[in-house]
Amino acid sequence: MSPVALDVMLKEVLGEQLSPGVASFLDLFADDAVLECPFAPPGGMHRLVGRDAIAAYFRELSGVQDSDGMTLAAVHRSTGQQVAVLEYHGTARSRITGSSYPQRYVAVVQTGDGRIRLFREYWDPRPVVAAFGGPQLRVAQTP
Amino acid sequence: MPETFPFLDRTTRMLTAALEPHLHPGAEHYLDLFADDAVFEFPFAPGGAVRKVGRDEMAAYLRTLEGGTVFDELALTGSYLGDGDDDDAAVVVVLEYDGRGHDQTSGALYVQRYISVVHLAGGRITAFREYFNPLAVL
Repeated sequence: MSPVALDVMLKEVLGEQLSPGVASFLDLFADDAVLECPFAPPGGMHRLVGRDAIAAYFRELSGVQDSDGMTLAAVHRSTGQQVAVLEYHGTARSRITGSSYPQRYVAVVQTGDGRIRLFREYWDPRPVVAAFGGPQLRVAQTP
Repeated sequence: MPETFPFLDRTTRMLTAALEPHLHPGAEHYLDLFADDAVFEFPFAPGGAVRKVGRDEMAAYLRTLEGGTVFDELALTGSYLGDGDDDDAAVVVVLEYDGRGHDQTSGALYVQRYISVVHLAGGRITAFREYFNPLAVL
């Protein structure tokens, strides 16, 4: 299976839990969706609330790194709880240093009313720090 | 008679409570929770990904952790039961939990967060993949 973009993977996995009209990456998220990266390095982004903030974050992220896409390893669905837990891996490259790094992810994705309400993505902070010398993006707020 | 690993007793109680409907009732100590040929993984371990197969390999690895950190509190924050077959022969449960403890030598505070993918069959854990933050490890 060849790697796919994160939004393609999410649409495939979440399927009919998403509204039929979902087209763009940001359509996936509810207005008040929460994005969390609990293992982000110090100074990095740990939590954001709202689609606009999430949009801004991903826009900035794509400015500093290129992703080669994600390969899904496992999906654990809890339909009653409207939760899917995804395990996947991929490679990204820092546009700042040119370094590539492999990454392994576990994400808890909760949906409701056809959109993602919570996207909590756990990943190893060490390869990020090695490739960027710190977090990909520095943010003012602390966790 | 498997080793008891008392430093994991609190973890054992938390896992027993979280996985209760799918576990055999006799588990007292950590290794009791696992099948003989269980696959045990710490993908984000500080020295590189850990993968042990079987309780003997697990015991040898757990011995290296004795005397390190121990938890004073463990709180389950999320539990997701995977859709499975109706016969309940094998299930997957994903757990999220927060730990707060200390290093047994220095007394230093230890705060950690976990997400574990737990496969169970026949009343025991057959695969346990626990992800934690390597930068938080003391």
